[in-house]
Parts: sequence; structure tokens; C-alpha cells
Amino acid sequence: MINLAQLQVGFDGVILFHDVNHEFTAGSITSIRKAGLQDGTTTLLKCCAGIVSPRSGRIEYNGINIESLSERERYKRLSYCFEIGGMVSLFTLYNNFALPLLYHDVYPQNEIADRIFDVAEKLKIDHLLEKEPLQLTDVQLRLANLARALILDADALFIDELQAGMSRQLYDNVVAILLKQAAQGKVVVMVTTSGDDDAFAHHHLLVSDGILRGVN
Amino acid sequence: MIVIRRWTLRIWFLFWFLLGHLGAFFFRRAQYGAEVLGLLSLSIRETANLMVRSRRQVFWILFKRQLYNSGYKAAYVNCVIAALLGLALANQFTLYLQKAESFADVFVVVVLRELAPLISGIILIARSSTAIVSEIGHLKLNREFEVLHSQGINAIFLFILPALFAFPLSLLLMLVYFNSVTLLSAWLYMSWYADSDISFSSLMFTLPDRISLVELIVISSKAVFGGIIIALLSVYAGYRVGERFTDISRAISNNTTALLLLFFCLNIMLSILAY
Repeated sequence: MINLAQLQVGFDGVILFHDVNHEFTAGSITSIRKAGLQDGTTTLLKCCAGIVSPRSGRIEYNGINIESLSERERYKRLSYCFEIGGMVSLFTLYNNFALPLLYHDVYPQNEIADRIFDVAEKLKIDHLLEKEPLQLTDVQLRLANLARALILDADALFIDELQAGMSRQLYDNVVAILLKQAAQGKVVVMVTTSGDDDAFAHHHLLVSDGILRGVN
Repeated sequence: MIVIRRWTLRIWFLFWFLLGHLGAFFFRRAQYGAEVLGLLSLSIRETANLMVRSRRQVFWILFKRQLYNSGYKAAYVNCVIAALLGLALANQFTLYLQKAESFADVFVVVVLRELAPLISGIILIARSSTAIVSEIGHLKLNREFEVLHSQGINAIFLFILPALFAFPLSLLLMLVYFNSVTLLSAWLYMSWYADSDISFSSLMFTLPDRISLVELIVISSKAVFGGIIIALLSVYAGYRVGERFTDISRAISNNTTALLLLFFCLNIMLSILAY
């Protein structure tokens, strides 16, 4: 469970969210619908994943302030899927997946390859593992970001605008995987934009005037 | 009277203007130096991660990659330049001197002490330093350090530490094959082209007498400190890249200039202090 309490989010003197109070429950998918071009949803998601610090307020993972989590714990529990890029250009896709697992000693070395190939096959990107990020399309990169989170088996997935440019068949496959993640008790939070299909989500929120409002 | 006062004011203004610019110049250099020292201290702190087996494996993969690119792949150009230098040295030597002992003296003073460290350092700066600035600069430009941060990976451990170990080792390796190839090339010229009586074995026997422990320490120090400085400043220059594409080329250019000056200063100062 991810709990946001009196959260104020912003950067460079600009306040994007001034008082966010919300609980993302385990076993559910929440869709945050963007209101405009620079409404701060990416920054909000990054705050929830512990990548950037909020201006004030608290973000708690199962009652623990995420700022007090070690780098290893934060990496294992909270995974952020970038909208653009999200990979290190120097390494192949395979090494991008394997490097953090090896660095944080999450799985034994002989298990890493199996996990990577297993998830890559499910997302149909197994043929791209020896390619470098700059050789991939934006859709393939977003799938790679999702693959990294699934390989890790993090407790919470924060996904930034996944659907754009995906075919129907591809997106249906991804949705099925996300529903399975939720069924396993994970927290899934997605930022969606207009035109995206988010009917499968359990909860829908809308960004409005710097706060999150529930949508019926 | 008014004219004199006006000129006095102008000189006074010019003086403070120049003083301000001079102060800003030295302040920026001091700030730069402090930041580089800070980076070095953070890198030293990260060496503690080498005690962790899984991280040591990651370091080893990246260290080998860096050593291959900066040490092994530079062997070709290093050896070609060394061979040409050997030919030039032997050509001059056969005109003016004929004894193995004399050649050994010239070789130690000119090649071993000065030219080998300098040329090897220039090759490292030209090939590897520019590559690192470009790589790190592109990572910075594309905000990929944030990707590493999101995964709890320390970029200093990943990029600086391998280079800090690989560059000095690469320079040491380059010194070994530069000196070896120069010596071999010079002897081949003297025996095949100049019909000299100097045998390779006589050269090999006279050389060790001229190379003291101090000599080896000074040459090794040039390689180690030079390698550390090149690695540190190159990564720092890449990391300072801003948000414009032209920042990368500017960083490469400025860093190469600074490194050439620093490396020459280091080598010359160490030689003056030691010999």
C-alpha cells in the first residue's frame, strides 16, 4: 500500500500539486488521467517511486516513509517506468535489465537470465535483448521499462503513459499482464492521457487544480 | 585639474575591473579544483563497495571494458609511434655516437624518462579521454543518470571507479610496450640499415645499470597520477554538460586542452623534482 499524506510536489519554484492525500491500495490498478501538457503527473509519479523528493508531506510504503528506505529496498519495492528513454544507452537491453539485479544482489546470477528471458517473451521483446536502447522505437522502450519492473517483481509499479503508439493487440497483452500483477497484490499506478483506454483500471483519478480528484 | 581627476577615476575603475576579473578567474579555477577533489573523495568512498561480491562483479565487467578500450586498443598506435621514434633516435645516434653505453644513456634520459610517458599520455588523452567525455556527456544530456538513480545505482561506482583503476594501468602498459618497441625498432635500424656492431644483448645488459629504483618510481608515478587525473577530469567534464547538444563538443575541446596542459606540467614537474 502506498499512502500520500499532505503531499506538495513541484520544482524550480513551481507548485504542481499542493495538497495530495490519497492511498493506492495493494491489488488494484489506478489510472491518473492527465489534464494538460505540464500538469506534474510525471513528477508526482517520480515522488511516489522515491526518485525525487516532495516539497513537503509524506509518502509511505506499508507505513514506512520511503525516504527512510535504503537504496536497495527502494529499488526492490518501488519501480518506475519512464515515458521516454528509461534505459542507459551504453548497455544492451539485456544488460540494462541484469545490471541493477546484479548490483543489488537481488537474485542469484543463474536465475537472472531465466527471469529476463521469461518476462521478455511475455512482452514479446525477447528478440530485442541484444539491441541497444537507441536502436529501439519508443513503444519498444516503454515495453522495456515495464519488463524491467516485472523482472524485478517490485511491489509497486508506477507507469508513465504506456499506451501511446501501441497496437490494440499489444496493449491488450500488456493490460492482461498488469491485471495479473494486481491480482498478485501489487500496487499499479498508471498515468494515462486523453484517448488512452483505461477502463480496466479499478480506480480513476483526474488531475485538477493541483489535486487528485476521483472520477466516477 | 578636472582632466587629471577624470583620468585618475578611469585608471581607478580599470584597476578594480581587472581585479574583479582576475578574482573571478582564480575563484572559478579554485571552485573547479574543489569540485574535482570532492569527486575524488566520493570515488574513494565508493571503493568500499568493492568488498561486496555482487558489486565487485559489476565493477570487474566495466573495468575490463575500460582497460580493453584504453589499454589494449591503444597498443597499435602506441607501437607505431614508438617504432617511428626508435628509427629517428637510431638514425641520429649512428651519426653522432657508436657505443651501446652511450645509446643506453640517451635512451633512458630521452625516451624512458620523458618521451614515453608524455606520448603515451597524449595518446590516452586523445583516444580515451575524449571518448569518456562524449559518453558521459550523452548520458547527462539524455538524463540517463536519473535512470541509474531510480534504480539505486551510484553513477560514481559505475563510471568513475573503473576508469580510475583502468587509466593508470593502461598508461603503465603503454609505457612498457612503448619503451620495448622503441628499443627494438632502434636496434633493428642500427643492425640492419646502419650496419652497427651493437648487439641487442649488449643493449639489454647495459640498460639495467642506468635504470635505478628512483627512476622506476618516478616513471610509475607519472603513469599512476597522470592516469588518475585524466580519468577524473574526463568524467567530470562529461558530467558538467548542460542541456544543449553543443555542450558535448565544447566539453571535449576544453577538457582536452586542460588535460594536455596539466599532463605536461605533471610530467615536467616530476622530472625536475626527481632528477
